[in-house]
Amino acid sequence: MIRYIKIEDENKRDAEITFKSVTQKNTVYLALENGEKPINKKVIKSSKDFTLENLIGKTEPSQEDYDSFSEKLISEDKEIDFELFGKFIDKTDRIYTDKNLNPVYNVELTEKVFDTDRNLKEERVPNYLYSNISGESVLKWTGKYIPKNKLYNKVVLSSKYQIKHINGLTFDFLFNISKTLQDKNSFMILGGGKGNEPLIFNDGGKPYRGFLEGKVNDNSYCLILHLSNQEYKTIS
Amino acid sequence: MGRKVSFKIEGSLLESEIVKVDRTKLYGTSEKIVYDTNKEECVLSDLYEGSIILPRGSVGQVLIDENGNSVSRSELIGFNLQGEKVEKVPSIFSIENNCKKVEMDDFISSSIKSIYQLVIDEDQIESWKKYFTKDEVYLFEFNYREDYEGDDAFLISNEEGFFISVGKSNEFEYLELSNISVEDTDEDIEIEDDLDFSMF
Repeated sequence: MIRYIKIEDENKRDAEITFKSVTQKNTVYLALENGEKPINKKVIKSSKDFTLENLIGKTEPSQEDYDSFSEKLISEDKEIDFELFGKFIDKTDRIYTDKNLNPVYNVELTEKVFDTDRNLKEERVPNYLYSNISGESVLKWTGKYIPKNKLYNKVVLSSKYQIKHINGLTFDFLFNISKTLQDKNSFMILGGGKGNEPLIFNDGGKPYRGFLEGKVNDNSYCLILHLSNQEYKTIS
Repeated sequence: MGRKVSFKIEGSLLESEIVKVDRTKLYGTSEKIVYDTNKEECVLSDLYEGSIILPRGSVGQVLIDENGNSVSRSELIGFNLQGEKVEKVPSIFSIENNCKKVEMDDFISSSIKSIYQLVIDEDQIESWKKYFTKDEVYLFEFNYREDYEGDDAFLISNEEGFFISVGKSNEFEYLELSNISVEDTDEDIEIEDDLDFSMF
């Protein structure tokens, strides 16, 4: 599915264009000595009735329970589900289960927030974030330019998206944006929502800061949206 | 004291320990917790064929050959895309890592997946600083452990200290009018936690 976004230029005019993530594929693969690539399979190792707690018969066994169970485990191989152990499987569904591993049909969701030392700061209703780059949303031209040499060592530019034209008009539009950015030798912060918010690519996704970089070469352009969610900071 | 990494920069040999900068150590983290109606915490399990519950840890991964025999990971060797065997890339801890000065744009265009900070002995700091006076960026091959493929790693500095950014270099295509895009895109983006990004 092609994804489109709307983006503004410095004149606050917007156009709908498309984008593509930029990733490098691995250049080395692992195989057997004869070059044969092994197949990766999911396999069942255990099942609900064969967890240690179920075999012992207590939800919270004591050390004594574990000790006395060890002998039984060695002599009887009770932990192996002979029906399922070793069975190759493909797809499974994911469900919530309670402490007895029974399916749960009604759930309540909360979110625990921890500080950098893993201390609980607060427990709250989860904040579900909606995409602010799709549909009628327009990525705002904030006009906040940051010279490349001021930004490259301040934020971690982790992911990249190449922005692409979809017709002749949007070619001119993106070429001009790229030339503006190249002439300034700067990134420009792209904002979501009202213009100052981080970008959220998918419903339920994470927020990122977006930095637009543009370059031109004769009659061609390269416009890259860099995403970041971390600064270059040291930890003590 | 941790192991030191040796860097060869413009003919000089410099050393430093490295520490991974985990995002959660800078900004904290958050976790979604699911409760049942009795306020008991729930866990995620796999459901197989609509009726068999497989608790967490019950599903493993195995490698098999074309005859169905189990294959150990230690039996595998690396091949390049031409099908030729490749040598292992040594760990950064076991060699002098040759660092080559590159353009800032080479660094900016790379996709970065992990960050390490350098922990430099006090008496060595000045030796390091003289190679980072004009926004220099140095590139070397990074493998934490010996393996068949290394990553691209960039040495940079700022007022906080010195960092290694590990990722992959990219080459971008310059688009002409005729390169109208009708390609399929794109995967969802995921990161490790969902704290608001509070860097500005």
